[in-house]
Amino acid sequence: MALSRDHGVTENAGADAYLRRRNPTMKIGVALVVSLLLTLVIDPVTPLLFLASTCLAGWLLGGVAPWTYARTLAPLAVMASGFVWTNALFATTSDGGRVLWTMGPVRATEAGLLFGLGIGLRGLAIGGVSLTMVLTTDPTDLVVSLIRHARLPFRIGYSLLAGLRFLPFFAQEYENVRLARRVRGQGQSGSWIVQVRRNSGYVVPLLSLAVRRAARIAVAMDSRGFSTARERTYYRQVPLGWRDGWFALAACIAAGLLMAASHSAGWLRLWDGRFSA
Amino acid sequence: MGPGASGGPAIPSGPMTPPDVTVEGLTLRHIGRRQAALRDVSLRWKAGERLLLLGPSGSGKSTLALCLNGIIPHSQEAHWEAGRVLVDGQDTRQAGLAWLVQRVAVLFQDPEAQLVMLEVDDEIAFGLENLGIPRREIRSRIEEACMLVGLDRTGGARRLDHLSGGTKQRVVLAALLAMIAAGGALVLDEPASLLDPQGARQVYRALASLSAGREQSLLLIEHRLDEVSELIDRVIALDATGAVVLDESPSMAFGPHAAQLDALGVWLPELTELARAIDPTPASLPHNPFEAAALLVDRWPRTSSNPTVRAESAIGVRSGSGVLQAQGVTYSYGRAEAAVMDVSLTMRAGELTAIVGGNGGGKTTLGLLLAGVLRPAAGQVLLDGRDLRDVPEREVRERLGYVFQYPEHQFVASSVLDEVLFGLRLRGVAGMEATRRARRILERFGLEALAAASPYSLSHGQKRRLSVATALVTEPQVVVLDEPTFGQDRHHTRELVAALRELLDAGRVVAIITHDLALAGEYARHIVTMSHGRSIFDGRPRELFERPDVIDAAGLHLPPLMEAIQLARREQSAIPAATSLSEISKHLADARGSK
Repeated sequence: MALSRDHGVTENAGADAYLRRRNPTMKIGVALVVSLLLTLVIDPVTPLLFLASTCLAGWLLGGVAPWTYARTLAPLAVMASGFVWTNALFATTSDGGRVLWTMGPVRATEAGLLFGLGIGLRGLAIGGVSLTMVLTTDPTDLVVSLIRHARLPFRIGYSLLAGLRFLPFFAQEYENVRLARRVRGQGQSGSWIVQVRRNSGYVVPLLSLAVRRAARIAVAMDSRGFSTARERTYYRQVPLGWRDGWFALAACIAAGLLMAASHSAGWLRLWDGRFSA
Repeated sequence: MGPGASGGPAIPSGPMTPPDVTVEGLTLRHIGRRQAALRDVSLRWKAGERLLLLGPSGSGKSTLALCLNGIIPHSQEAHWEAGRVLVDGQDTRQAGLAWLVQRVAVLFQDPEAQLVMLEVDDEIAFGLENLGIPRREIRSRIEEACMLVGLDRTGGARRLDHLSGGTKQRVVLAALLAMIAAGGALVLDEPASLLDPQGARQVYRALASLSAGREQSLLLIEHRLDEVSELIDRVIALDATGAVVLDESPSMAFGPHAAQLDALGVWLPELTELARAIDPTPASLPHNPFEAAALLVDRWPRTSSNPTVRAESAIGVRSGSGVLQAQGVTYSYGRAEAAVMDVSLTMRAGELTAIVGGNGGGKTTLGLLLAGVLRPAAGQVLLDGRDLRDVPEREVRERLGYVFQYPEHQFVASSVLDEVLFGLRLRGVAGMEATRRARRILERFGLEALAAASPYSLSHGQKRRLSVATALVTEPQVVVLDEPTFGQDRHHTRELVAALRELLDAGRVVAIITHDLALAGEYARHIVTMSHGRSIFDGRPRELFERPDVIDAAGLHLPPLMEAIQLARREQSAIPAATSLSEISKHLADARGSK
């Protein structure tokens, strides 16, 4: 398992930072509210404000290093830039925005560019919020909190945790199957059709291994009373208190203030129900 | 509360003494199988008794373990054909599973398939939470369980993914001990078979201190017995059909009944075999290397002459022409530290090379590099002086074979016969000739009756043999096998060794990757020891066994037999530096003959 390594957060850095001590269910709630709010925004500046504020909060209050954000959001940024260009070039510009340049039938408009930037940055901002939530939350705390504070059935919660331990093995097993097939003489090259067919051939061994592993874990869990558990107790304490309420309130106020500031500066544009610029 | 079928009771209020377990005429068949897994099994496991359960692969040992804690039939279905299992007089079919799992706990082979949580405390708490035990008591039970198995939970040792296999297995053990508290029985189903020697030793030390400190019922299922012979009071053996054929004290089982166990295809403790080699009817059996050494010194013929070193028992006395060489090969996965670092070695045709070391030492990566599966980042692998990079992929695959540790990874076809034909077809062998060769190799590995079966439906031992068969059918010049004897009983290990011997006699280059020094000492002529990605030893087994520093650095430990021989040699210099049981037996016979 490489959870901590994947997070890019050293084990103890900021372990008692403000955001890390907040209740995970509350954090999910806040992240959901902010993300919903962001989906309504279509201008490029407001999401940028949110992104900057989230990263700043994550850094100062959660101990998430800025370069962690940069590294983790980079792939998302590449995808977002795709939105920017396709919208700049192909969006129907009903309000006849200024034409930036033309090349044959292709015409880049200012309105399209801004619309594309808006969508792209919105995605990044939502990504930033989710990332802050994930990076400042211990997975076990999250599951226990969802069971106790959000009525997640414990059988589902604990199965998810057991599944989380699965993932690295799956990646490793895929690699083993790939190498093993290569040894058997299945080449590495070929057209994409050949490659897709080859990859689909991995399904049977990978499924067979996964099913066997899952069956063994199920037996081990039942051997520890999981299937017969009724009145379950919880050793790990995940507190939910007035401080978490204050946090949620403060976060919502901060989001509102950002929207207001953007509005008064004349940047804010909200979605009006149409799917083009 | 009582063990009622309602499953209601959480905290056992019964006597905190180990349970009395009785199995009466149990016959059980797995769903979809024609043959019974257990046939008319009867045994009594009294409170505080420490049993060893022996039997060849597929004799139903693990099935019996699952019946004892109620997983069968409560969690796993099976055809319960006859008989019953009683725990404290309660029929397990009627008793609640929540109560049963607190009376009898089962530790399985693979720690990875038993861990559910991400941190040590949560893992131990998991079962207690399921039972509804109050938080305060959970805390004290965690403390106690960690102390019993010698677990340190401070600092970075909290996260399970940072722990070694041996420590993970001790976490599972602690989690079970916390559940059964002081009054439950423990079933251990090959608890160390997937661990490297140091991990295995950790687990057995924990078990030894556990049973020294309190009256702990144990039922141990194990192939390798030297570590456990001091732990047990009684030996029970099942035969291949799942019937009890022996129920004796250890000294009777490994003494007068040793031949019977041998015929069953189960391993005997090496030291016991040594004692039997010295005296076919030994008065008492050695429990540790010191006693074995004393016996060896005492009974070694008093002759003045040093025995001349005769031909070794190791495979590969003749030499062939083929040579596989590695020169300064280095390989790393991603950005991580190099898995193999500047390793050079030479493997000769006709002699068996063993690549040994603890887990994470780089054995498997080196094997993959030698077989041309991975390409070195630096350095080169030469086959008969030719750099593998200059050999086309197709030819590399034709001339070098590799057998993976987990056979499933390698299967590509839907039937056993097609699996073997696959490699032949790729190499242009088709029609009658291909079928003839495929049939012959299946027969060689005892798989001909299963030719039409799906490779995935085979037993573990059969899968392993099929994966070896697929590698050998195309007669590659070089074969590398990763842990070929892992979890195999004695009979199948011998079968495999015979197949390797044939290959070597035909002048092939063969390497095995193993952490079993006893196997390497018996059959290899050349040992390469890996530690932290580097080769820290390259030479003869005999030389390695005289270097405790190297063995320790590689995360291995000397097999008890070698330890006994070395201890004996300090007393009596006439005893030669043998590296296997067959070798020391031969020397003993020679010494007796020359007297």
